[in-house]
Amino acid sequence: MKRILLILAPSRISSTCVDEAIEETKRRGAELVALFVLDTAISDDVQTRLQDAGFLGEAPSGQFIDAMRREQERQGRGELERIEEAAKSLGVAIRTEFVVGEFVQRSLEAARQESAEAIFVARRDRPRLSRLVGGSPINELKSTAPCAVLVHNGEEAEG
Amino acid sequence: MRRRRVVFITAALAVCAAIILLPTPEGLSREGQNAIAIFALCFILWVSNALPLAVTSLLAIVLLPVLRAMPSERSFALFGSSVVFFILGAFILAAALMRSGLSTRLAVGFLRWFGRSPRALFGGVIFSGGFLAFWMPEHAVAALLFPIVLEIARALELEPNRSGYGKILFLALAWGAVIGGVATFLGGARAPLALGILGEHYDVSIGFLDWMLAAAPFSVVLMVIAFFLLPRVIPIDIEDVARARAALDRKARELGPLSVREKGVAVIMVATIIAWIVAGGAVELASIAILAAVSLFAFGLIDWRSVEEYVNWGVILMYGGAIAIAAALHETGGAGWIADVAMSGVGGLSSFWMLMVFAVVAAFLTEAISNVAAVAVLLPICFGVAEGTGVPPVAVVFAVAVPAGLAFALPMGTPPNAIAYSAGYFRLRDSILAGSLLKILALVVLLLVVRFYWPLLGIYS
Repeated sequence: MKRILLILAPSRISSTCVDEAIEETKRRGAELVALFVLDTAISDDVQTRLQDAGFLGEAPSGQFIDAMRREQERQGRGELERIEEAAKSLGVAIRTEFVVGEFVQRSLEAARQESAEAIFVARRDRPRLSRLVGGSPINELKSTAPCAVLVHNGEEAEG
Repeated sequence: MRRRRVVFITAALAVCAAIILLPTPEGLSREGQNAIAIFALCFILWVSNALPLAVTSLLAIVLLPVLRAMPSERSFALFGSSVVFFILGAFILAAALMRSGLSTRLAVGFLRWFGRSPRALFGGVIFSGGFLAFWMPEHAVAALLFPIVLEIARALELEPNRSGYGKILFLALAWGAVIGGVATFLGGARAPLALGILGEHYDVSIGFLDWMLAAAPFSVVLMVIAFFLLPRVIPIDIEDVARARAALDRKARELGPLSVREKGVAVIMVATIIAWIVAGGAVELASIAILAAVSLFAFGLIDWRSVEEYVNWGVILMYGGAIAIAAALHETGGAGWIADVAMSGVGGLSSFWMLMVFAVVAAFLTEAISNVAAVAVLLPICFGVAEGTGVPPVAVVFAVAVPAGLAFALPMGTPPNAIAYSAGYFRLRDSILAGSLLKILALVVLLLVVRFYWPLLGIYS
């Protein structure tokens, strides 16, 4: 069966992107695989900030990271439930997955494993300058994915 | 991240090498030119976080003698600055507050007291964060409030990114900690760092009470402004917080009665603050801080393993290095030369407007870089600009170090913002909009404080 992969992560959640992925899956008569990646790069970055700039030790920063990851997991699973309900209500076959790890790596693994026809993903909420200087995981995904990557960037989608 | 690091490290090395290789301009010594090269290198690395802040400082300590900007004995000796030990003592006290659970109890108590309506509850988040950040680092305050505010958000079933009240709660978490952090020497290490640089340049100091008198009223006014501003920018979309109160009551029951350890830490903390206020002029602040830290061990209120778990020792390297760079810039004439070239127009301004220019530059620079780095970078240059103009160095310290703590708009500005943003309850555009408004209001209040209040305290005339 044809599969469309919808990838979500903390701060990569866009309702328009979700709607478009469901619509496209229905149009192609495919199965939608909704994957939530609990991106460890974000928590690692915040932890580094707390320890490097805030000079907090392992214990308080670790406690904070635990609380943050629990919250992100709760939000991620909640989002997957909402997407599952929305897809089913439109008669679209759907499967949901929740994984923890590095965003690009986990996304590529899923794309290959599912032999996805296309990937739908949203850009993170972040200043353009930071993307320009620091590079973009989405650009990395686009250049290495085995299928088309449709990136949702606010209101516009790029192919 | 790897690409970013490579870009910035390469840029930093290239700029440093270019400055060293340029012909020495008139009015600047060779040593001063090399000190500026090291300063530029550290500026880029601190701003970009391409290396940990402490590691950049370590690099500076080595480069200063290698490039003959400062003798090695002096650059290494600055790690032993009394300010570094003050910061160390303050961090150990904060570790005891967190380890004993007293800080969490205070936060929960505050929130239960405030939490009778949606408006009062988010006000409680601002004021409890602000009050705690008077006495412990703002980053630690934000980290300890984070799980409590999350519990409130869950109890109220606030939807991340969609609930207006969710956005308000998490912005309040960041802003309370940030605003409270400028009120005393304990809220963040930028004020002690500024004090260290001041001491190295002019051999003068600012007392604990003097700092509080100058900065705490400003901090309290700003908390009140934040309290009124937030619901105007983001409307409150809930009517009842009974479930949040129930969650806080449950949390308070879980904490149980006040333990002996908490009581002991409270006594030592209060005694230390009184000593800083009463005896701060006669005894070094650092000596009082270290004595307090030793008392915590003597009474068995904290052990060394806990201190190691709660304090990142990079703090000593960071501040030692920043003080050494500032001292090298001053002693070689590098800071004065930068001031002449880059900020010559400012030198002709009145004392008031000169201080305001420093404040505005610091307030905006700190949105993009660590506020400690903002102080380390700006203060030596501002001292150079103010020299010979009649503006006292103490006034320059206040004008730079207070607004350098006020990062509201961007998550990268300061760890409390990054912590609040990471919960996923507000988007970047929410914090940019609301944070920019608060920043403008903060600068207006600061303008009034500098113009009318600080002269009353004799900070400048």
